[in-house]
Amino acid sequence: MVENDDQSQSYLLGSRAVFFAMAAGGQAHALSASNSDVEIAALKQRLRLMEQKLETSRGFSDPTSVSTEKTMTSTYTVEKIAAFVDGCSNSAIQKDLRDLVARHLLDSIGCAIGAIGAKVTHDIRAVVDAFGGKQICTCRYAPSSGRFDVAG
Amino acid sequence: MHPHRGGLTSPDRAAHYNGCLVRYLDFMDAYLRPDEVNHPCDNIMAILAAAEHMGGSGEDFVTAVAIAYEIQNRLLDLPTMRAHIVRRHWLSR
Repeated sequence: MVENDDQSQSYLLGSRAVFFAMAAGGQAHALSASNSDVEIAALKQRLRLMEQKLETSRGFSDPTSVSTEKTMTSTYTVEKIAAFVDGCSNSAIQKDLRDLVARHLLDSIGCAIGAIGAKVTHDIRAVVDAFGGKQICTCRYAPSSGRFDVAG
Repeated sequence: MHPHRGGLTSPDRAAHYNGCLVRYLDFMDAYLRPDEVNHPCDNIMAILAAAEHMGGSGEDFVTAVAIAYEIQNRLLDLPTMRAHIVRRHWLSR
């Protein structure tokens, strides 16, 4: 589906490029009916430039390509972030960094344990219980049981 | 409710509740820039819920936390619109 859409779009752009080439002064060459190879080559070059101009103005970087996934450039920060995340693997994180993450995790768990008994956290838990939700993820602490679950 | 756990709920609510537990004392880790601060540990419980839901390994979890810390802290390094507000706040004292 996507491929067909892209092709039709590029055909459309091609016909528009011809129209603009004629409207923008190309008709003088066309009317003179010259068969010289040089003039034809010059017209072709002119068309190609206009097509490129049209397509870059519409955000397409490569007019001949069909696949949008390969040619889509990351222009927004969020796209660059997504590309960064996509390129990361477990091997990309070194051992010393993993130890640092573990330290921060331990720190966070300590903070969570420190919150036990606070009324606000009980209230939030009451809201979570009242609204329900599909039972697939663990809450770390249950006020009623007094248990804090670290391991999951 | 599971007898050995704090109970089960949906990933977003688990992230909400566990995140509130981490946040409540306001003692959690912080990344400081001039006129700015963020608390990247807010990512941890959200990632934990996502990892549990997806059946991710501990290694995956640590990788995701490292990535989240990297991104959030880099975003704080970007020019801020809050700087002016902070400065005005200090002047009005």
